Amino acid sequence: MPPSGYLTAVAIENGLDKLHSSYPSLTQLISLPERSAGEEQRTIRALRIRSGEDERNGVLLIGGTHARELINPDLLLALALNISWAYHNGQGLLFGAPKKLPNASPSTGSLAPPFPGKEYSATEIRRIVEGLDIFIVPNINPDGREWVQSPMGYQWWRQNRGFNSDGTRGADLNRNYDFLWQCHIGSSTDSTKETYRGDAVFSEPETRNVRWLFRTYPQITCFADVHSFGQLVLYPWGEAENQSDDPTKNFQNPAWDGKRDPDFAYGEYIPAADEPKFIDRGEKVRDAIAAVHERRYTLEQGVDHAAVSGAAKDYAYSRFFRGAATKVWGYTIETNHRGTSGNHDEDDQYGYQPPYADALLVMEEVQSGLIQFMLTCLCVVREIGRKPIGPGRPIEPDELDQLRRFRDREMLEQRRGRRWVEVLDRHGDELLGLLHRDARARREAEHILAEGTRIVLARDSERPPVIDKALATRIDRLAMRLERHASPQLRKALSATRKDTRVIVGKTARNALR
Amino acid sequence: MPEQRPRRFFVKISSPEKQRIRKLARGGLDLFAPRSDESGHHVDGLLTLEEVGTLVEAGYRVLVAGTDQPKLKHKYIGFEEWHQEMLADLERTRKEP
Repeated sequence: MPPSGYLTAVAIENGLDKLHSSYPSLTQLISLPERSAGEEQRTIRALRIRSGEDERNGVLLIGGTHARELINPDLLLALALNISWAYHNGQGLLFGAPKKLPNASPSTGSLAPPFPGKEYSATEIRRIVEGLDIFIVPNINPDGREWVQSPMGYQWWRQNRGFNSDGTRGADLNRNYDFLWQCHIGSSTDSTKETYRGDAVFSEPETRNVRWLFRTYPQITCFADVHSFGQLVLYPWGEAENQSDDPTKNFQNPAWDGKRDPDFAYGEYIPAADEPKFIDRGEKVRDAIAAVHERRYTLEQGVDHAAVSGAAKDYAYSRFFRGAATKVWGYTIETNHRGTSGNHDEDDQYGYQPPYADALLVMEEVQSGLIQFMLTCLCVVREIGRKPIGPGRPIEPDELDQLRRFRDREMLEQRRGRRWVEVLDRHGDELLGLLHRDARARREAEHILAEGTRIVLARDSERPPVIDKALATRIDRLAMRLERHASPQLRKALSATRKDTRVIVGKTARNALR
Repeated sequence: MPEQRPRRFFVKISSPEKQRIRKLARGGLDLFAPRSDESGHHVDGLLTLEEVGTLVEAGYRVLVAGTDQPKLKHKYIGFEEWHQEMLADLERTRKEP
């Protein structure tokens, strides 16, 4: 029998304790520094999942921002349980296979089994647990959830339960982050409204806790805020259409405050290389969701759903442009659409709080999307360099940092550099799979990485080293070897890379990009 | 009832112009996911009657679909019960090494 109902706020906290006591070497409980805003002042906690102590990219997943969206804390706790269990037992994970399906209610409509299902192998689970720092905050707003579930409360409460300066209660946490908060787009300055943005930017302890996570763990490069409903995968920016032509139209330029609107032909600047990367990652998430029950989410820019300022995903991504060392690829996932009962009122309830049998279906498909998201967050360079099987030494954390800076500040500024980054970003997961199965190719990749690192790190020296013919030939041969078993898309990308190897001989790291 | 807040209603707001629906979202109302069909562009929301009145005056078509009284009653459970069932489900998928 599947579970019969939603978890209480207390049960979610008990769940975090239980997961930590069941998998103590794999998990760490992190009490966030600020207690919740309501009278109860609840502790809010993150669960960190990782195996090994070395540095790696981090992924932060949060749920429960809007209290009435009951599915998502359960979903994230289930994800934490599933990943921990699978890693501990050397198992893969299967989502949506017919044998796992609970008895869905008739309102699932077109969701008729059999579903194709989505399977992640034990190797993939091992890769994310050993290759990532996974931070999960299932319920960032415990007071709100308690209020929604209380007979004395209100089932459609959206906000936290803090007191505002005028004595009213509650702020919309996803309008309280430091991203154009002052512009109150899609948020209200009226404290009696559901989308009240809060008394000040980061006025709420719950959002300050998320900020603390980003500041304390700068290795976090991927972020997803899970909401309901809409059947959407959303990427930045959230307040205006993206554009890559005019860098002066950007969120930091106060000259545009009050004019960030289609009426003023305002578009928010996004570097040309970033939007395709958001789309590529988002497509992988979308497809991994669809593979479970064939329910297709729409991938779109946040503003196409609803224009808002002060949202978490935009804050996460915007930090890089204000000096944060790492770029965070921030998304909002809106779980599946309304029901199909034909009753408008019930349908809206369904979107936020479906019957639990249906919520379990949603939880399965979104977990699949989030695991795929994690796989896209692995750093391919780190994975190749961290445990060499060949004679070389592991790549050092400060070398990785320098390579990351080279990528973000120099490679992405040049056409050829962008193409190389794209190969790793778009096909990283497949490349790692191919290298995992081919020890000779893996050793070659390690050698090329070591040489490439030496050349990049010495690029500012008096006599910067150049790429010699032997290295270019090795890259060419490795690409050719990988092409044999690659997907058509990766084969095409590798083929373009091989053409590049002919023109980079004798060039420094910087000149090779041009 | 929400404390200190007037009763709200599930509503469907419609307009023949997509841009008008998009613009509405910028205003900070409690709106859900917008959508389009052959009859036009729509967005649902949970609004007070005062907010409904303002929208109607602004030329939107607003259908009040129901009160905010819950139709579905949910069961809320503790972690142990939930965990046992989730684990049993996982064990069913266990593969021999």
